Order: sequence, then C-alpha cells, then structure tokens
Amino acid sequence: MRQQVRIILFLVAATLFGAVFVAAMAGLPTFGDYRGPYGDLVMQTVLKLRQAQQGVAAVTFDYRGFDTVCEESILFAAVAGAMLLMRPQESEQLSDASDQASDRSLPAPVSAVIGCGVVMFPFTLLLGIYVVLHGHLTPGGGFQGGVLLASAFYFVYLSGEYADLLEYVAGHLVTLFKVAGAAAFALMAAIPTLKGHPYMLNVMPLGKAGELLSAGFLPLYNCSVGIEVAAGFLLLLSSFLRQVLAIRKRRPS
Amino acid sequence: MNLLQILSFLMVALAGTGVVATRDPLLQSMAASFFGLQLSILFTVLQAPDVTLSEIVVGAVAIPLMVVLTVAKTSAKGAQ
Amino acid sequence: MNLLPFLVTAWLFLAGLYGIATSRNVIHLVSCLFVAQSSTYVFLLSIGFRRQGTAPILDELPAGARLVDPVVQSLALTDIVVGATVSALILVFALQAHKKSGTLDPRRAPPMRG
Repeated sequence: MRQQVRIILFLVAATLFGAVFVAAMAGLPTFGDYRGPYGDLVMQTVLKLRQAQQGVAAVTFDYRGFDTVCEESILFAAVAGAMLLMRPQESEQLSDASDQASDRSLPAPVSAVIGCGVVMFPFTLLLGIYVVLHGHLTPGGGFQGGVLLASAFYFVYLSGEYADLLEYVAGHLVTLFKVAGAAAFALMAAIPTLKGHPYMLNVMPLGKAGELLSAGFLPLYNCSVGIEVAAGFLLLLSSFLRQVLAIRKRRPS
Repeated sequence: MNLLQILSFLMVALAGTGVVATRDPLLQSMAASFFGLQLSILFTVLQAPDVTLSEIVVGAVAIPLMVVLTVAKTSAKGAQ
Repeated sequence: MNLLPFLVTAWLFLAGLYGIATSRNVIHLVSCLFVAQSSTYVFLLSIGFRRQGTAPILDELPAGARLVDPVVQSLALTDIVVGATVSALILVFALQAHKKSGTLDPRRAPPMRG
C-alpha cells in the first residue's frame, strides 16, 4: 500500500516537473544553434593568449581553473573517505585471499589469459601516459589518462591473482603518489600569488602551440592530476577487492 | 538533426530506461555498462571527444566494476 | 524534432528518480543515480552543440571553422569526475551498512545513530 502511495506521489510530481521543464527548454535556442558568446570568445583567444590548441583543456585548467581545483579536492576527499571506511574494522580480520564461490571450483589460470594480461598491461600503461602528456594537444588529459593508468592494473588482477596486484599497492607508495599529485596541483596553482598575481594565473613561459611543452602550466597540471587520479582509482579498486577477497568477520575465539 | 544524432539520442533514452527497469544489481551493472557505452557514442556524435574518453573509462568500466565488487561482498556467504 | 535532446534529458532524469524512489536495494539505487546524473551531461552537451560544428581543438582547422562550445564540455567533464567518486563513496556506505544491519534495503535498515 505504501509503495502505491509512493508511486502515485512520484508520478504527480514527475508530471508537473516534466511539463515545466520541457516548457522551459522550449524557450532555449533550438538544438544546434548555440549562440555563445563564451565558447566563441574562448576559441578566438585561446591560441593567441595561451598558445594552447585544445579548447576543453584550456577551459578546464585555465579559464575556469579554480573550479577544477575544487573538483580535485572533492575527488581527493571522496577517495580518502572511502579508504577510511574500508579499513578492516575491529570486528574483522585480514585473511588470505581466497575464492568465495562454493558451487564451483576455481579453474587454474590459462596461459593464454596470462599472455593477454602481459601484453595489455604495458600497452594500457603507455596509452594512459600518452593521454595524460598530450592532454593539452589532443582529446584527453589528466583525468581520462589517470583512470586509464589505474585500469592498466585491472589487467594484473584479471590475468593473474589478487596477490600480484597487492604487490603494487603494498606500503604507502600509492598513497604518497595520490597525496603528492593533489598537493602539487594546489601548490603549482598558488605559485602566481607569490608574485602578487591572481591564483592560477598562467605565468609559465607559453612556448609554441602544438609542441609538447607549450600552453604554460597546462601540461604540468595535467601530469599532477593524472598522478592523483591514477593513484586514487587504484586505491579505490584495491580496497574494494580487499573487502571482497581478504577481509572477514573475526571468528569468536 | 540528422539520423545519427536522433538514433544515438533514442538509444541513450532506451538504455537508461533499461538500467532503471533492471532490478537485480548484478544484471544491472551490465546494463549500466551498456548505457555508459551508448552515452559515449552520443558524446562522440555531439563532437565532445574529451567527455567521450572520460565517459568510457568511468561509465563503462569503473562504476560497473565497483558495483559488481559491492554485490560480490554483500551477497556471497563466504565473503562476509 | 528539435526538442528531442531536451525530452531525452527530462526522460533520463525522471526515469532515474523513479528508480531511486522505488528502489529496494542501495546498489540498485546507485545505478539509478548514475542514470539521473547522466541527464545533466546530455543536457550540457546539447546546449553547446552547433550544426556542422567540429570539436573545439584547433589543430589544422581552417580559420573560421564552426566549433562547438568548449565551456559546457569542460563542465560535463567535471560532472563525470565528481559523479564517479561520489558513487564510489555511496557504495562504500552501502557495504558498511550491510555489515552492520545485514540488509541493503534502505527501508528496512535501522535508523543511523551518531
């Protein structure tokens, strides 16, 4: 009964919202008729003022860079919070990683699968590094490349075992990378304030558009964000895996 | 609007409905992965390669993977 | 036909909300949230689109080429990053709540105390 009331309430509210929303949207410029002016202004000035040819990266890290700093802090805080919650609790213990399905036996790793992993791991790493480094020239950037870098390590887990992945995230190295990436981003953004410029002003030598070292701070920001995101997602993945494979309720002794 | 745009918009709407209508979280993660893929196709059609890249890595890989791992932890008897 | 992007936006948002309102499982709820959130990406990119426009990357483009808006693309990018990490955080909350109460149903879970 309560479920029905809930659905009726939702449907009434949704109809009202949908009608008002679509009516409001009908007043916008029609699809395909973007009128600007901000996007056009950015694209007219980005080459001359910033020596950057990638409009999206320039907007993300330069024109509205402060927003991106805040966004990176959200990412940092969310990953840190998830890590904090996923530690083994007092009532739990770490056991050896083991397969949990009781209705099937674990097949031994096939050499073809391991071979695929061995091939895919370095190539995905390489692709991730490429996407991060060329973020200010071609589509891509710190975030996309960072998640790609982290997903390279999925191949280690998929083709080998949890223990192999554990070797990469053991100790504090990955955590250090994550913190260093976030700190480098925020500190680099603060460099202009030392000279009395506004926060995040692009004061680096701009170089020539189209070259790897161009657009001032953009490649540096991309690298620091890439490191932070790659380490953050790797930590998230490995702590989810640890929850599934290794953390168990403590047996009453 | 050309046919490709109309088609990719409709596919996104359809895949999104499929994700909501699938009630089993495990099957739903597959539907969500497909939905992420459809979204990234739409973004390519709308000339947004940057958004496409991040939608592929996040929507089609990262979120479904985390959902699958959470389902594994909460449903397998031995995993608790 | 020109209203189609906005209709799809409204549909995705409301379908996601419907899933959230009727959900009996927190993991199901997270996927529905993902759907509701993607409506914003569709909306942003539809606003910035321009007929026969190309991606806002100036490499070897003739001067005066029609470009789509880079600002909304940057906004959508931020949106996706934040959405992914927040979804991860909700999943972790669901996981820990399941350990305490043994249920994933948000209606059956006992009220939380600080």
